[in-house]
Amino acid sequence: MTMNQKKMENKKIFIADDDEAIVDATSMMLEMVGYQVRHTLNGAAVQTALLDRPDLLLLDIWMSGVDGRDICRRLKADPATLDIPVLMISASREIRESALESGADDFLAKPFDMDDLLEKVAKLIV
Amino acid sequence: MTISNSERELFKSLVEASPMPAAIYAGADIEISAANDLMLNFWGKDASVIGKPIAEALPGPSTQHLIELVREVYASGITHHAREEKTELLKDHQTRSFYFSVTIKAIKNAAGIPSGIIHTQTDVTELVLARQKVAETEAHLAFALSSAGIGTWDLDPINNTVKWDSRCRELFGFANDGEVAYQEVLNCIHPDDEAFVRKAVKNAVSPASEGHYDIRYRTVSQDNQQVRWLHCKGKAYFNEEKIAYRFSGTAQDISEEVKTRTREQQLLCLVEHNVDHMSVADMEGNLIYINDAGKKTLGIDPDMDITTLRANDFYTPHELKRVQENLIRQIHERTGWQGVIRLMNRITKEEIPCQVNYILIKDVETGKVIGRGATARDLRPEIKAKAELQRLGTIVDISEDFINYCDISGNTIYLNDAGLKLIGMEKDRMSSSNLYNYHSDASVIAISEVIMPQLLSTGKWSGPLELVHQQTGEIIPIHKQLFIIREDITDTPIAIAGIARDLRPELKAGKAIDFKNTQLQIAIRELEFLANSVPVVVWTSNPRGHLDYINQRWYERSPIPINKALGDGWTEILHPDDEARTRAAWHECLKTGDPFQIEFRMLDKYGDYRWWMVRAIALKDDNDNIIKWYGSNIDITDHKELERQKDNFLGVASHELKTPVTSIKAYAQVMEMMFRRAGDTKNAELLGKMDNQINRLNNLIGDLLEVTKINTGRLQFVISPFSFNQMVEDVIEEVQRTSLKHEIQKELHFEGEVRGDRERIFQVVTNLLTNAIKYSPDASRIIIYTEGNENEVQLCVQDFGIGIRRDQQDRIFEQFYRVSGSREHTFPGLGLGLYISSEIVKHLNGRIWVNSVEGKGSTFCFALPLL
Repeated sequence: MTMNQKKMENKKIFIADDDEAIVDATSMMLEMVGYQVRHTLNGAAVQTALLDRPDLLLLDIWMSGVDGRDICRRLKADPATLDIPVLMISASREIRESALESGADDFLAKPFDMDDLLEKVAKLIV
Repeated sequence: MTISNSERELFKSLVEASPMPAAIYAGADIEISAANDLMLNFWGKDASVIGKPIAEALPGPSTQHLIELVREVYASGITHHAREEKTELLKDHQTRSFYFSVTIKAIKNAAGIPSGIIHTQTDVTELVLARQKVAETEAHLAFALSSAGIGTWDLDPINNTVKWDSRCRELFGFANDGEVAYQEVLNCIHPDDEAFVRKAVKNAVSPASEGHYDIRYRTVSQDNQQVRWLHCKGKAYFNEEKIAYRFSGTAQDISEEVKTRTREQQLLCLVEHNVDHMSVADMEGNLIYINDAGKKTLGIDPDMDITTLRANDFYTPHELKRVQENLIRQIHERTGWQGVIRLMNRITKEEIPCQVNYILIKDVETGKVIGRGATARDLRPEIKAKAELQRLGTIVDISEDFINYCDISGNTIYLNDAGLKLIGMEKDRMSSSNLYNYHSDASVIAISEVIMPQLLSTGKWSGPLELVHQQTGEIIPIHKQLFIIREDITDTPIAIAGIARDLRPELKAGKAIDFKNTQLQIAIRELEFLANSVPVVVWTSNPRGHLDYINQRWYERSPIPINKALGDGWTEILHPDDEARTRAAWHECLKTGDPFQIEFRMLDKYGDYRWWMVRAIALKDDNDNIIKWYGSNIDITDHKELERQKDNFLGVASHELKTPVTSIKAYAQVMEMMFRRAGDTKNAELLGKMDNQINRLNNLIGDLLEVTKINTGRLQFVISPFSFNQMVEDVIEEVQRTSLKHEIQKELHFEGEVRGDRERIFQVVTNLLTNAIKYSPDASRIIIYTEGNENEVQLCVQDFGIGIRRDQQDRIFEQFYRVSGSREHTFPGLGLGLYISSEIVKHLNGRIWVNSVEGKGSTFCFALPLL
């Protein structure tokens, strides 16, 4: 176990995405490198889940009935959650700008390379 | 007759003091009792005669007359006065006439009784002679004035009356005799001159003028309205108050002089403006006069002093020799010479052939030759005209039209070669032919009965006639023009000239045209049938864009009849959202002649809008001018609906496809990592390959998604400033990772920000770089370079791959276009990448293009405006 992995052991990542397969595969990957991963398939539950204060929120923009950017805006407006880094994910590249505008700390287009994901996650979790 | 001594002494003293000859007689013997020296001198005696009787003292016949006079006065007491009495006296041994004024007066005493006689005598000879001289002079003057036709007048400016002599009355045409009023004189003056005369008179009687008066004016006789020109001279005389009290002078009839001068002026004007050169030189050859035409021909400046020139200056050297050696002699021997001489312009040195006429000029009085005159006509126009005439003759000779010339009876004088050939006549038979011989019978009748009378009255005729070929007998239809030639002076008709055009080719052509027209009408009907049978709307338009034909298919959909749709009536039923762009595009094509292609919506007969695709192309003449537009409208409503459905489907499908792809990719990568951790490199590599294929699949889906967005107008752009260099660097880094074989070399000369959609531009650069790698499998490098100016930034990607054929270069930015050819089959793809890139660049108001050489490589570039 490397120093990085040691560091990661204590880091919690919360994934919010309505596609179960993506959540599954992404969780597996993140866990393989040592992160603790929790998830929700329901956009509406994100706010509640954050009471656990994860070290990073992996947030899909399009979840059934919910716009990830609205969630992000609310989080960033709430002093209790504004310091939680948000990595926003979407199948549309062109959403990148509006995602960053809503307060996301970074953006990743689907389908993504795991290397890119791990790099961006590591950068955001200090 | 006694005088007292005291009286005697008194009278003696008076006599002696008298300034004139004086004497006193007394006594019955008429004794000279006193005489002064003047009287003694007159008598030619001395004082010794005093005291002697007069008869003794002055013997002679004249003394007797004096004695008688004295006695008579003495007896009657009446004084005798004689004025300027003529007396013949001997002086210097010659009898001469003298004139005396004599007074013989009685001296009376207190009782009134004559006591003596006093005799005074004044020599007035000089006075009388002077007066006679004056009278004589006046008579001479009157005679001279009368001889010269000069009248005299005398105006009294104070009373405004005029005295004049009979000549003056005649000159003014004034009937009245004697004194007349000034106003009456003015009535005799020509109305045009009256004001002028009044002014001159007013001026003359003004002291400032010193009385001078010298004018010329016209009078009109009151009797017979005869107009005369008068020259009046005069002078006004002023009194001490500077008022003119007299104004007199002469009047001379100068009508003849004026007439002569006018005539001279006219002649001179004629000479001045003669088109022929006219000049006069003295016997030494010095130029005295040359008219304007001469100056112009010979190069003399109009303002030049011609007396400095010599006639010799205007001959060519050769002609000068001829003139000096021969012509001058001939001119004098024959008093003139006529012929052609080459003169020379002194400035240009141009030789001017002239027909010259030399004459000798003689003094009118003495008949002595005083100069040489010359008139010269410039022959250049005639020579030119002759040349032109010769040329015209040649044209007539070689004309392809029939040209003939015959006398008034129709006998041929001339017939050109084309004419001879047309009627099949030998040249040697020409002179013996007559126009009645080679015209058809019908034409002969027409010529003699209709054409000749008209020719003789109007001078010309034109119309159809028939010739007869002299060898074959063929009747040749012609169009003939005939003209009468008349004798110059008598105007008598002397000949007929004719020009004829062979109508056979025209008739043949006319028939051919009729045939073609028939064919054309058939073709038009066939085309109309064809046009109506095709399943699209077909139309034509004039070059100004007004529709002039629409086929019957129009009625299948349209709510308005064809006649309403013609012109630009069709635009009335365009969808309001499409009208402006449609009109703009159509007008642009009308201007450029480029093919017109557009899709728009038009109202149908059921009140719905249908989509039409319209295409039109312009038919142009050889000079690229548009003759007509040919267009077709295809109803694409169903096609549009299908396209919309396709786009919707593609959009939904590709979005839905992306979700499982994302999962598959994630699982593949997780598995790869798991194999790697387990040390199963082989399976890990297989999964790596699978990941690449998933990426390809993802890109294909992505492209389809983009195209549907483009086609449905949903491609979104987020415009913001970004660092162009950084964006390029990011693309290079990402693309370089996928291809280790190619080294991406960068030459980035543009530094600065660009306002645009970073992600979209990123996408374009990525597409160009991945294409460069894809189509240069054998190369090892790609060059990307940027540069910019104040208006735009430009980016190019150069590869050293297969290149693109020239004929395909224009199409590679089209949707689904893939370069064809055997080699390209090895490069997979949907043909959407460049289409998407070009749509993005166009949307950002940029340009995209390619330079490529097949087998050498391609350079793709785009430029974006710097806002």
